[in-house]
Amino acid sequence: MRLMIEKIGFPLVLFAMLTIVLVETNIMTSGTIITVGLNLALALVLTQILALLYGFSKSLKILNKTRRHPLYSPAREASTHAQKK
Amino acid sequence: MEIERFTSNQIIVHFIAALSLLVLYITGIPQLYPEHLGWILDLVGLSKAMFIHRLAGFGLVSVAVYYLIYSIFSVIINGREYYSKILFPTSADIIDYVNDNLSILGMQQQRIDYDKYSWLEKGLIWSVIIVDCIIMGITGIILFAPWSFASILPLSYLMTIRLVHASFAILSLCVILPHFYLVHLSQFKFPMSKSMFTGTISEEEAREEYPKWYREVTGETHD
Repeated sequence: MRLMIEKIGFPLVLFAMLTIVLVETNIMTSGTIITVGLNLALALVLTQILALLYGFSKSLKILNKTRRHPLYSPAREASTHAQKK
Repeated sequence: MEIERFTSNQIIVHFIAALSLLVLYITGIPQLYPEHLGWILDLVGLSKAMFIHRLAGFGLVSVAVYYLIYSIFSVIINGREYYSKILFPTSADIIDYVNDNLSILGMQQQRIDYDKYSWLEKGLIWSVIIVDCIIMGITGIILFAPWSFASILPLSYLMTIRLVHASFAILSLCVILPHFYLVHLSQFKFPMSKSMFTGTISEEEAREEYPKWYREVTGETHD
């Protein structure tokens, strides 16, 4: 499955990039391919926005959950943090 | 075991900068290609899109200024060595770059020995600094209120600045799309890489992708 995602993902990203290059260099400025490619590029951007919001909110939730835990100790967390450094 | 890779400061700065930049694409690019992406402007409304675009621009410039000040203080307190190592290209990065390209061409099978940040990641951060923060930031500030600059700059200059702003936006998008592929669609990271949110990276991933840095952190000898 993951290999398949990579095999599909690479041409999709490449296609979106090539479309932008074609439009910007005036080689091809209209047509269905260009419309699909540009919309795909912005769809990828939108996916990134959703992933960014999801990832950030999830990590904030985990942080909040950890701090509300009855056994949470700021001193122990500082010590673990220092050890990791 | 997880290894710390990003500080909480870096995580927050990345989040605000990335969100601002992505919103700038969504609200800015459709204005360049209204015949293909005009539906976005129809959906949001041009005036609202412009307002959101300016708000996101303000967010990106603010975070860039904040991080610049933070970096200056960091350099003064911690010294230049750390920043020189993680930010500026080194001779090892040039060697890695050559080796990477040779292996893509099938001329070499050598394992790449990346440090904490690879040449590609350093290239990406420099493209964000130069293209998105400096060029887009300065041209964006001028286009934010063009009437304020009309007495200083002739109209032809303002038109050129608009062209530069639009062209570099396209260049910036072409840089971000491969970044999307690397953090979302590559085999081991699908559906998304979580290290930019948790600030940590798994030991296996660090050993596999950044062997030199991994050895430095763990004190492991070269295999």
